[in-house]
Amino acid sequence: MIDTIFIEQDVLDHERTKTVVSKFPKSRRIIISRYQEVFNKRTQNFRLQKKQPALILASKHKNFVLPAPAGFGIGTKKNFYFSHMYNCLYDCRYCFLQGMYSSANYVLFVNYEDFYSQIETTISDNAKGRITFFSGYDCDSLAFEKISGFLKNTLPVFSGLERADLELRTKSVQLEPLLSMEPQQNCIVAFSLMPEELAKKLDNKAPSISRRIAALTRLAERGWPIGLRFDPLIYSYDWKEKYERLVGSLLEALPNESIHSISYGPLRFPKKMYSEIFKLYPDEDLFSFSMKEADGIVSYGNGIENEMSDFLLGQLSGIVSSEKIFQCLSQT
Amino acid sequence: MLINKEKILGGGFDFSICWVIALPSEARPIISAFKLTKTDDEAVFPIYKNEVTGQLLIISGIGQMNAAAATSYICGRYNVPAWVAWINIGIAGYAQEPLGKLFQVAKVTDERQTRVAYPGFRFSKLMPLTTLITREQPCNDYKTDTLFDMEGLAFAELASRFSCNELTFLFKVVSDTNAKQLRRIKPSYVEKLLAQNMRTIFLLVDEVKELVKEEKRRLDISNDVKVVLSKFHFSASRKVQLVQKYRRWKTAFPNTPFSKACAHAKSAGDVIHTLDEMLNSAVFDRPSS
Repeated sequence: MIDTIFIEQDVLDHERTKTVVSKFPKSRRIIISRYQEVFNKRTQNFRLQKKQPALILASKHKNFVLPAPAGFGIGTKKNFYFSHMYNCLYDCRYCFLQGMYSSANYVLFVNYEDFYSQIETTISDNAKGRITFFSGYDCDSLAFEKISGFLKNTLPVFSGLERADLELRTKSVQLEPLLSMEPQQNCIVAFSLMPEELAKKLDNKAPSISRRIAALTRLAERGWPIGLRFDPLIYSYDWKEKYERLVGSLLEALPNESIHSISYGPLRFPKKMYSEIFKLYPDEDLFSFSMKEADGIVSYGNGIENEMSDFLLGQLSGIVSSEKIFQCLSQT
Repeated sequence: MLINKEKILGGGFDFSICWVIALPSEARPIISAFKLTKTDDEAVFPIYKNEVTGQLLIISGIGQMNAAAATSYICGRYNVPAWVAWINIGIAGYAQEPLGKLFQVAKVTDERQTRVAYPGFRFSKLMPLTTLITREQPCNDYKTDTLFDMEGLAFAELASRFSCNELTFLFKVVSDTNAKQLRRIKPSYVEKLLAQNMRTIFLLVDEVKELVKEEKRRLDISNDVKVVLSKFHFSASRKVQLVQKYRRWKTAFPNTPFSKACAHAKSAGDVIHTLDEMLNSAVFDRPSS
């Protein structure tokens, strides 16, 4: 439960601020000038703060839509992302956010309309070819929906757009407003997945894999295009058996035609980010394995990365069209 | 104020909390409740401690300058480690009664709002949160919903550098709501205001200690590492490597004694090499790990 809401003076009277605040009647409201004065303080302790994050309601002033990192995509040449929120309800141990931000507080930008107008501008500026917009890069797309109502407002913006796709990246089983809306074929609900045993150890506070599979099955039945995201691939004892079981459960639960795309990517961190995350969680089992550093990137190394990729492709081969499978090689 | 290196007094002392308190009358209930005793007669500020519970307390005097000086002084003099919690507790003016109500400060600014800090892991289940304005001079023109004191901001800015923001706490007890009450504040009255909140303060201290324990586990260097550091010469960068590799090794092989693993090491390089070799065989999620 959120006990404290920091609110930028400028958005104090914003209708969305009032709606969000009304959902936490017992919280303490504290007025601030700009969200950075709370969020960017250097002496913050992400790990302790993550036990009890506050909510910051703010207005974003620029950079509403940004080009996605190179190597990030599901088939279109032009890829963009937007972040209406910073930080996530979950506490996944490999998440780059914990190494990127000094604060674990949630920042929610309430001026959604500015995102929408920038999305429209981006579409008209890129007049040729399809474009994919990614949501859920700096947060989970669905987990905060009951509070933010972001999707409820955003999905209609993409309705009927012929050249633009929207990917909603999530681990959440909170399926509204998707279940009560007509499915949109250009909105892909993409679930982050890993073997159940690994998710139990790494995806803290997130729904179990079996619940995620149940959720994506319901959405597929409803007609929403589904994305399967094996990103990051986690190297572990018996990893082949674990991934084989996971892929098997997914393909059994999900009609092939409901799968829009599958993407996979290795566990990689920029060196500085890896160092920050290790400092926060030095006793984390995931980091006890020797990782390699090359060109400022910490990873399992090409040998393991290729072995894991080949194995996953082998599991999917002949079942899912290779045109639907994409490798993600971005380094956050 | 120069701190002689030979006078660093923190060695072997397992710290958990450093109290920085402006007035003796504010400090007395804390000193009594946590059984702190006067120590370090040569110190520039009065200092109290309880080695069993790992608490230090310094009486700073009134004002931001004194609060900052006392915080720095005790940190340097006792070589206070980074996992220790810093607490400033004391009286404050407020626009509304009841007098004696205890608050945790979630935001503190100066009068002109040019400096701001957001201290502390919040204990909103134990007490209400509020904002605080730290002034240079006493005042009695209180605004609704904001406390007024004379030390909080400087303390919060400085203590969070020695530890972290989440382990820097400001707790304030309402002492007055108008000029008449302000003039009547006497030491015995201040003592009474603090004393009547001791039940909550005990609960707070228990919660704070849990956070400190967690931070200590994260930051403290293991005895295994200290032994190896005293045995072989490690350069600064190798020392960093040793600390990191040891943490990873201990996580991967929790049941292997370090002395056994490094029994044949004859140099710092051998220790690092041994750890590397063992870490190469570590695998995440191995059934026995």
